[in-house]
Amino acid sequence: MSQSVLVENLQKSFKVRKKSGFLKGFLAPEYTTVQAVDGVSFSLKEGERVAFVGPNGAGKSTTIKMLSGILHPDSGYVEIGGFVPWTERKAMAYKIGTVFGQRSQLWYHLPAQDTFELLSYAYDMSRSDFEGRIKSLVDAFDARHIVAKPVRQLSLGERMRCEIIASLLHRPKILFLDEPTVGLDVVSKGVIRDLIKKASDEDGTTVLLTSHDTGDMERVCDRVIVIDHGRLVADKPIRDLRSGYIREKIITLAMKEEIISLTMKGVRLIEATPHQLRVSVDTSQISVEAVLQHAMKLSSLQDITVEDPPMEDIIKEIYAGSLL
Amino acid sequence: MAEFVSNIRFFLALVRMTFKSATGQRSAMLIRAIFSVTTHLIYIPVWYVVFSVAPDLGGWRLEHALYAYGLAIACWGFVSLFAFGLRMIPEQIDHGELDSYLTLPKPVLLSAAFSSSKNTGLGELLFGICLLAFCCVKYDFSWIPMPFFLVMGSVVFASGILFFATLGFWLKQFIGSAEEIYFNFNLMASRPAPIFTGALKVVALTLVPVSLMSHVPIDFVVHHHWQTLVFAIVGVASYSLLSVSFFYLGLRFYESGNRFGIKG
Amino acid sequence: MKYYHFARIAFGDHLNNRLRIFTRYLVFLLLDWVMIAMWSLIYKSGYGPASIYFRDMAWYMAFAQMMFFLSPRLFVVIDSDVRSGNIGYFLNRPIPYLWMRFAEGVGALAGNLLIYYVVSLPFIYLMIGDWPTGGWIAITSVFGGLVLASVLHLLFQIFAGLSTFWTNDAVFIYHSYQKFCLLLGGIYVPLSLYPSFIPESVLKFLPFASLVGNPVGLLFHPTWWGVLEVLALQMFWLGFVGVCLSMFYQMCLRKVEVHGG
Repeated sequence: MSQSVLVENLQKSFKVRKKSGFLKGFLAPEYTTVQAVDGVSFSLKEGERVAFVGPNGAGKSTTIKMLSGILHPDSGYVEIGGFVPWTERKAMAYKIGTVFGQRSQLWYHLPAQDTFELLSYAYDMSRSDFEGRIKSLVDAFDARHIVAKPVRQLSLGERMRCEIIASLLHRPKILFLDEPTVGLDVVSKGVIRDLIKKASDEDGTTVLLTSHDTGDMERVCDRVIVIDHGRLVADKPIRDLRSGYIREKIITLAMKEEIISLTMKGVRLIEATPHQLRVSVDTSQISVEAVLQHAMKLSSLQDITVEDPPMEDIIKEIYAGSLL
Repeated sequence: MAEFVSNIRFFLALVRMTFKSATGQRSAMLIRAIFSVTTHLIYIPVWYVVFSVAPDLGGWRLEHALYAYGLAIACWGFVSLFAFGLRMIPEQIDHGELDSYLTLPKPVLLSAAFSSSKNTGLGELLFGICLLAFCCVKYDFSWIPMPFFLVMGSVVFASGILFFATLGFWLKQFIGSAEEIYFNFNLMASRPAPIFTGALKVVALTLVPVSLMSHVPIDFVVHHHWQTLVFAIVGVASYSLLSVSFFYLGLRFYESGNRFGIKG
Repeated sequence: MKYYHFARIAFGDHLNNRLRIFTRYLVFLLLDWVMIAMWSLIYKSGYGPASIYFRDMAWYMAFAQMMFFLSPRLFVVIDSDVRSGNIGYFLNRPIPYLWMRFAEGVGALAGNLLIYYVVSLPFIYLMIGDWPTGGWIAITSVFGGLVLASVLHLLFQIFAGLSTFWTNDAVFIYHSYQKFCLLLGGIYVPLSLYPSFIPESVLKFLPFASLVGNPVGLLFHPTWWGVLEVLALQMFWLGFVGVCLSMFYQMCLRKVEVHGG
């Protein structure tokens, strides 16, 4: 596999205006410099799916914006599909697709299929090519009934399916996804994750995905790059992270009994309050199913919630050096 | 050349889409069109009152004021209908909407300007054209240059909007102030040309070139001075170029990221 | 008391946006310049009314334009709240949304009054080259009248903003209102110079005159009785529009309940 993305010593700082008096702030404003991305280097092979994660303000969106040509870096070198984003943006645009979870590229009052047609002109696709491509994408995404409805009538999950179709229309070699599952329910998240993975498998598309959801990286990606305070903290295959931290699940049980004792190997108590128990389960030692079966024997369960550990906790652990 | 053709095809597709989007809600469009025509009609008695006090202002009479108003309002409608995105540039900047346009292989300005339409524009455009036609019939003004003046005026107005909207790259939440500037820009275009003398004339021909939008066309309609028209065409081209260059200067600031700082 | 705090915060926030204030002020000066130039030409052409000196007319025009710049563009904020559905989040607060936004508008208005009243006098003087005949008494009377006029303008803006519930766009409602002000408010021509078939007494009674024509008209005859008359009429319209607005707001709230914001 050849190289698809190359990032070397990428640096980006922002000037932030200092607060000052009415007249002084107007006539002679003062600025402080904040280093958002500080010497990040990595590379992605063709067809690789990589999660780019980090806490809020870590510099992940800034990095992804530099890679997609939206922001210009202070220094460093980037090559996306053979193009430097800030000098060859237009040529590079044909090779990349972008999805910004909190921003839509679809026309709100029109059916998504109209946006697809407009984008086909943006990417200079021939009519026959466009028609063939849209048919195969709509079939693959099982979206025939949703692309004909005005976007304002779509649910968030349906809208995101259309966003991804729009970003894949011109067969990009590299797909940048910034928080693609933000705000979605569990079922929609699963659908979106499967579709991204399927599209990448079929076309060999390289995927770089930022997310706060451990589920996104666990179910879509092969590799994870962790960034914090603008610096690269870890660059690992996802299986290493899985054996380290994602193996943990958080189970919250609500029961009729005031208290139960769930003492099992691989189960750690987080919090016990009357009629509620919160435990951490190490899935490499015991399955979630086994824990739930045992809990059901001990009590009359009224509600069960199974969650991934929060991204912030994982990053904190990684940053503490336990995984490096 | 291939790139130019490709941009034109994209532009035409964009205009088709904006028009489709704007005309999607037909009843709302009709109500707004009727409403806007009614409210613009109010301006006619306003000028009637002014010219009842002073029937001749340095050679300008009621018919000239009506022609200028017709031009100004038709240009406002034309820009609102086809390039409403220009007016919304400060908001697009605030909301980071230029990001998606920057990832497309087409000029950012094209997408930003023509990606939305305001359906009140149709009523304004039609009202402006009707007022111009009324002037041609009632006061015997020539019909022939009217389409040309409409295009020229719309280019000046669009460039003016672009110039001031671009300030939104540096000024946050600028949309409210920008709308006020556009409105007053348009309002000034309907003021009698003879009041623009000295420094005011310089302003009206450069920074806020309302003279190129309405005063020069009326001067041509009355006096048929070709030199003035040629001068106006050069002025329009220069001002458009200046506005587009200013926009791309602002875009460079946007690309530096200092407009937003750190978000993630 | 809580309204005071909303106004206080809005005052600070408004003054903090220096570049926006500066840009808006430039537009105001340019518009003033144009209107003064227009009347200068009218006087030079021999059509100036004999009863009014040019310098008084020029000051009238400058202050007439000022009224629209003193109030913040509140209708834009309300329009955005209604369209985005954010208004729903304000309704569960122990302060009515309507009066909260009004208090904020008054706060920003206070900021503008401070700037426009202090900074404008030298600029307008430079443009005209003379003070009005009535001197400081005339200017102070107009300044007093413009305060209530701007508050009334805020109420009309709230009306326009809330109309978004039905029209989905406050801008064209606001522009319509602005056109009525231009026609009936005495913005281009003082009310006393309107054609005789429009009775001046009717024009002066209308709310549009209380916004511009009546308070700014004090510049020509600044008498105590005149000031009291203008202020009393403004108070009447403030009360009337305020009550209508409260009723209109209740209608809007019912629409929020039906459509869930």
